[in-house]
Amino acid sequence: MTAERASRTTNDAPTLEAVLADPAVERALVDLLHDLPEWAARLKALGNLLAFAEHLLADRESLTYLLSGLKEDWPPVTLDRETLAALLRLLDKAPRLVALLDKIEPMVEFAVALAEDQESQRYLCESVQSYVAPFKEKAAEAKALVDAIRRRAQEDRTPVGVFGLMKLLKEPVVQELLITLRAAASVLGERKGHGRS
Amino acid sequence: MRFKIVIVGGGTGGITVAAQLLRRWRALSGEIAIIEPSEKHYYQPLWTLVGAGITPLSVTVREEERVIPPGAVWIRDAVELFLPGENRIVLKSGESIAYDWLVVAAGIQLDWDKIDGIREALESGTVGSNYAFDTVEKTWNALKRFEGGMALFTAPNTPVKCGGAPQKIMYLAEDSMRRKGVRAKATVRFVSGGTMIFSVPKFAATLNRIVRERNIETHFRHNLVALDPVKQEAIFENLESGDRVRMPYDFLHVVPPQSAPDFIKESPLADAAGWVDVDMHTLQHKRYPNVFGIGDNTNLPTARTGAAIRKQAPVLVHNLLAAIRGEPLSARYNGYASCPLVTGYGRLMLAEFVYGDVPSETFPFDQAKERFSMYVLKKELLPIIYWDGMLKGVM
Repeated sequence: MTAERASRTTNDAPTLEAVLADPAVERALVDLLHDLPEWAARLKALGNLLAFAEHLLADRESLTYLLSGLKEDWPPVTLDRETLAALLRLLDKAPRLVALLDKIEPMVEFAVALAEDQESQRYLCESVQSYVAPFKEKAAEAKALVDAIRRRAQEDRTPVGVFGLMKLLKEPVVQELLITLRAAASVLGERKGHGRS
Repeated sequence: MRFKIVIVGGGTGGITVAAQLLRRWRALSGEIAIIEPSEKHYYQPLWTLVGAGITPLSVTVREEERVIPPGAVWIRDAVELFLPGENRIVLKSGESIAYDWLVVAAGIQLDWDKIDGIREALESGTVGSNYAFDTVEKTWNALKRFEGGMALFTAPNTPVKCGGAPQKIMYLAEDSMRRKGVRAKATVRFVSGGTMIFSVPKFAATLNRIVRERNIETHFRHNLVALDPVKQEAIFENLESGDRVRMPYDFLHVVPPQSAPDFIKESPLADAAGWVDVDMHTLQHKRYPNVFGIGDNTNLPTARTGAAIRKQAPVLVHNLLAAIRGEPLSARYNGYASCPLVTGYGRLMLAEFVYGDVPSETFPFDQAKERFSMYVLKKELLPIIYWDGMLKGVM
């Protein structure tokens, strides 16, 4: 009987001896044996975990404590058919929602950053004030002028006589006003004439 | 020390890239290091307005610590040596930092010492420069004192950050002279090492008109090489003839020559001119695929501005993350840059363009016109967008 024939059984399957003689199998076995302590430790840890789960499931008191704690910490959620259907619809729309959020998020984050950035806020406020200041100044000047005129008019209630009127007519401000009035009357007259013809 | 991503430079490019990376991929928290020696972070685009007495200097500076995005590790040191073959950098302190991916965002170097006598001149009271935090207020102080005579504004023949800045201060100064009533007694002269007022023809047309209308003299191909602060003379080299040309001044705004930082020039990352050698579209280094570059220190053929970095950062971040995942680099930078050219108090022309000096305007109107709205955009809104949008990685 040759060695080759001896390594085969009657139904032509390789014998254990032949399989062990394969260098690849031998290498794998050595590797496995090398890692065996690690695997044993893992199996032991798994065993401990399973034992813990077994004890926990048997311990009704601990289970009740755990579930009541979770109920207190989590928000009140009703997981019914409607909620699950909404969740599925939300998942279906997730790609579009994420695309939208991606666009909005930078703007929101910019707004949040600005809201927290006091230096930038101060800079903006001072800038706005610098633009508004000249207008405010002019408005204050105009108000002061009107107030002064009103006060003077209230103080001096003497009637304006003919001589007073003639003197007044020589005032450049009054002249300017009258010239403007004359021009306005002339232009308005022309427009009216145009409208009739 | 080892980090997944090391970013060299905590300026505009470095911080923007770090913030965007951390927003896109939270798992990078603690895996990104930013190497930056400076304790301060500056918003330099406002220095033009500081030099014209419009904005206080204090609003342009913040503590570096405050702009480092949460999740990034700030290493307060400077790079001494790049060893891209070993995926390692060596710091000035001697410490070595290994990386998987490197982003180079170290900015540009001001070569003051290429102008003889500049240090003394900057202390004379008649000379200023909007190009450094320490010298920008000198510009306004000298301008306030100016009562007439020769006002010189220089620009070197090297690449500079914000190519429009040398003339922005000139337009503002000229406007300030008019407001003060001394313009008739002044000569305003722009002396540049370049060949033209602006490279994009559409915007150059407006600037040439302004220069003509406001009676500003222009001298091109003249490079400032020395200053005599005692005689108040600026010495230029005529780049055509090689002759030395002396010009007296009563006010002088100097733009220093600029180049890539020395530690980049001397590294394997540099091209022949010393800049980080990156692909102009993907921003990936041409020889080291795990290295990317952004901003002023790169050889990208476009203007070196913060606006350019704003468009480069998302491209770099997209391509860097793709490279990490082993995917192709699909994002492409088109060379976008913007130059808000302040032409006077309350006036600005917003130049925007892409590679090839092709205008690429954002707003639905002719941006080659000077506008108050664009001035408000630069002065009021862009600083806010910078601090709260760009540096946060959201804009």
